[in-house]
Amino acid sequence: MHEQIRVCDVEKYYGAGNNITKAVNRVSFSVVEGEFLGIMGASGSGKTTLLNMMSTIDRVTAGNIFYGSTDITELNEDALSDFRKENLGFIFQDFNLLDTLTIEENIILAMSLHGKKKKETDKKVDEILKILGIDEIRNKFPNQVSGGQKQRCACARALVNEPKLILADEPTGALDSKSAQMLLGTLIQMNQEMKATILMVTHDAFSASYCRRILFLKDGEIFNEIVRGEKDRREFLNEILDILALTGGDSEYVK
Amino acid sequence: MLNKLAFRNAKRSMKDYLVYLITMMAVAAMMFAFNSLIFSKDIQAMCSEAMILGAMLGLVTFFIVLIVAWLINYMTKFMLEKRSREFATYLLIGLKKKELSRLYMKENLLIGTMALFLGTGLGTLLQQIIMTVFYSVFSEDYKLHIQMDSWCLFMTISCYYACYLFALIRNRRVFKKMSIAELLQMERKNDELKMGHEWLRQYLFFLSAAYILFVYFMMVKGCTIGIAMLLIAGFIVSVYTMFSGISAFVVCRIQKKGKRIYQKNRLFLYRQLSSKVCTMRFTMGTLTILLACSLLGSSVSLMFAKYQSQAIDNTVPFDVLIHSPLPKDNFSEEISTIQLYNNIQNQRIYRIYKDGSQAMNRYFGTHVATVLEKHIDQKGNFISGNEYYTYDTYMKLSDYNVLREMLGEKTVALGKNEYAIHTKTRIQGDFGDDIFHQKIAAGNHTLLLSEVYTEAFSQNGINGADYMIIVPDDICEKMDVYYSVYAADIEGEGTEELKNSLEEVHRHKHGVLTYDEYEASLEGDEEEGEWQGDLLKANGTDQILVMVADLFVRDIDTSDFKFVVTSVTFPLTYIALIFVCVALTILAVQQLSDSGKYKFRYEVLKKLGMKKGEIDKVVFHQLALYYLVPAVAAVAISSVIAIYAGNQFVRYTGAEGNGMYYFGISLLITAGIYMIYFAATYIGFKRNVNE
Repeated sequence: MHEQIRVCDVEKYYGAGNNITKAVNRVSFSVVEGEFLGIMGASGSGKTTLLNMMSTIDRVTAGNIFYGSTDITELNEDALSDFRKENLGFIFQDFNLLDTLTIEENIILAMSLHGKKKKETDKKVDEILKILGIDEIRNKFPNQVSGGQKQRCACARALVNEPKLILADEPTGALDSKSAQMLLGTLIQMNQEMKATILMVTHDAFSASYCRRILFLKDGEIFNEIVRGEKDRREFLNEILDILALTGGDSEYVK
Repeated sequence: MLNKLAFRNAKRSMKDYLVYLITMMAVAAMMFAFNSLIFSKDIQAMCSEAMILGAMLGLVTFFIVLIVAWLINYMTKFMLEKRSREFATYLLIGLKKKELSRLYMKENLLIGTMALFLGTGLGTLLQQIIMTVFYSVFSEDYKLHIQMDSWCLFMTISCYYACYLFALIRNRRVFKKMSIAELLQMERKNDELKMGHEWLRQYLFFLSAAYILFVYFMMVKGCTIGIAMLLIAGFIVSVYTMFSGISAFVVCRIQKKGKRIYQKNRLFLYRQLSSKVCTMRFTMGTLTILLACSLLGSSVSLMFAKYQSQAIDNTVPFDVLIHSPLPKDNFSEEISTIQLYNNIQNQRIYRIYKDGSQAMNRYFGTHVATVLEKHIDQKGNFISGNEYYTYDTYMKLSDYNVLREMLGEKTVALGKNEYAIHTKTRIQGDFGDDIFHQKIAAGNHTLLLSEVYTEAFSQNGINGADYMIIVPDDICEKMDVYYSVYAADIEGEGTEELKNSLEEVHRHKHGVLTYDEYEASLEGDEEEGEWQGDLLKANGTDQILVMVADLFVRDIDTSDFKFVVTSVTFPLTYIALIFVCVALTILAVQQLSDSGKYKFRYEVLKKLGMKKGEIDKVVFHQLALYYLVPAVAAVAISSVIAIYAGNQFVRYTGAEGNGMYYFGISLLITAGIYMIYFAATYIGFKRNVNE
């Protein structure tokens, strides 16, 4: 497995003059192909900012982000759009499905924008709908199905063009526990069976426990990193919870 | 505190709904400018018919108030929906519903008052434009000056606030029924996505279209008023159902998954369109009807405006023209009356003759198209008894040549056995080649047609009804005199006083009351018969815009006639402009607020890898489609009616051009206004999406 994404000394500052907030401060790490990487942190720790920069939605203040040999911080707007189209898939907390399109059409559109032909599109869409278990609701509109189903549709859309990296921003945030569990199962399935590389940002320990490796972010910096290795999920979850307790524990709140 | 809040909210709403504010300004400006036509002292002094213009504008104002009230009602409801969360918060912190409804009303009145204030300022400018146009119709110079009549201001303000009154009363009821929970939910309501039965519903589209075609068919074929009313009611309903069908039609196309929807962003565009049309089907229907009315109004207005000078030239080519039923009238009373006011440059008393034949009447009856009177039966045979003048009308060549000279035309000559016809340009078009085989037996002679002349000749009953046969003088000597005519060119302009005195003298001579005398007599005795408008026996086939009288003083009749036409064209233009603006405001505001509400859709597209330029293109296409739907429907609906009506108008009046021409111009004007609103929406939409 080779290194697919390399984040080098990335910084993101907001504000100007004396009033600067460092949202992300000299963060470096890399993502290996086929990995399921989690980024955890409390609100305001900079995890979403980091994700946004990696997903080309936001620009870095300093540093580089390499996808293979491409440094996306050097690309212009149009090239970024193309890059996004070719390499990235998105899953968001609030699903971000187009409400005027049916579940199936949401996936078709993603392929049409890639200029794929009808035959190929139909075949692929059929396939993916079945794999993710949303074949039966394909003709429903997003507001007619459950949150879990919506999120699986978002997964299907993210996956359908076989991107290099799937970026998931709090994908379980708006789901009930059962749906969340199902969705995480789906993500594992995508990761293991379809060899998708996934980067998931979350502040929920349970969700994070599904990842293979987790980076902990605090005040814009990486302060810890754990790898699941051969541990079972329960063990891993406890490990995560311990670290989280520590994160908050350096202050006077935990006495 | 609440007042301050109302003020701040109003300020914000004006910014958020700038298009609406500008439209309300335009409405106020137009109201002021057109109302000043009613109250302008100069215009009242210009013509005795000024009242008609006032009455017509008043009538139109009624419809305008209704439509503008609808716009305000729509907008207040719309803003209420967008700000429902804010209102819920007000209620949560303890504001009473009554206070809230009053607060909202205050806000809206503030916006309205602001628009009225700015609009009236703008109105003074528009007033100058309208006045200049108005005066140019009468070939008079208008010196730019602002007219601030207090009655005009009063009427503008009361009409304007009447709109608000209608609209806000309705809105109050909405507040009364609303609960906090509902207010909190309201904003989340998305476009309606599915109504089910698309497959079935799409046939509504075809059905409505078929019905509309059927109405067109009936329009051409003709039917009774009662049936026509029913057809029109059905027509309006079918416009609405058509929109219900259109969205289903598009959805069905999408569901069929043809190759087209797999191209780039097509799927997104079609879905956006169908969901919007589906949610707004009622509004879309109303907008279509407004736009169609507006197109029809401006077409008719253009038609009348273009034709009026032609009608005037044709009817009153002489400075003074008087008809007398007396065969030997020497017009001495009339002549001496004219001389009291003006010098006579040139005059001619001449007779119109008959010899009991109907040959030419038959030819005209069987060849010339008519609207009201029937001259032929179903088999095409001539029905006698419906002729204008019972017998053919003849004129001496010498008289004819003198009259031609008075009109500045070349004189004509006739061979011994020849005659000529003078008729209207329009009628000449109905002649077949057989007109030249049309022989006339007068006395012992049989005459052949030498030429047809069509210069303006006042042929609505004075120089014949539709036509005059010109024959050598000696032939007329053996005929009976039908009636007499007096034509004169006078020095200087004819005045209202000249016309009134002439009218009085002429009528008294023939033992008929003038209108004023008739009115006075009515007050005494209510069982008086109808007033006799003129002494003519006939007037011919001209329809729609036609001047019929037995006495013309050109300068006065011209401006009277123009006034009558103007009282149709100006109000129609007024209503057309307002309707277009109202319709476009609703389209624009809908889209602009959607651009905020559904911003995420474009974010998603962006994340799916669309470039900024591509998203701009999607926005452009989406807006263009959305603007086109009601426009195309309105054009489709109104074009057939306008072109048909225009062609009929040309056919029966002899106006220049054709239905297509008038409709084309009004389409261009409307398209111009459309483009302005479209551009404003597009820029605003792009800005909102890219923010």
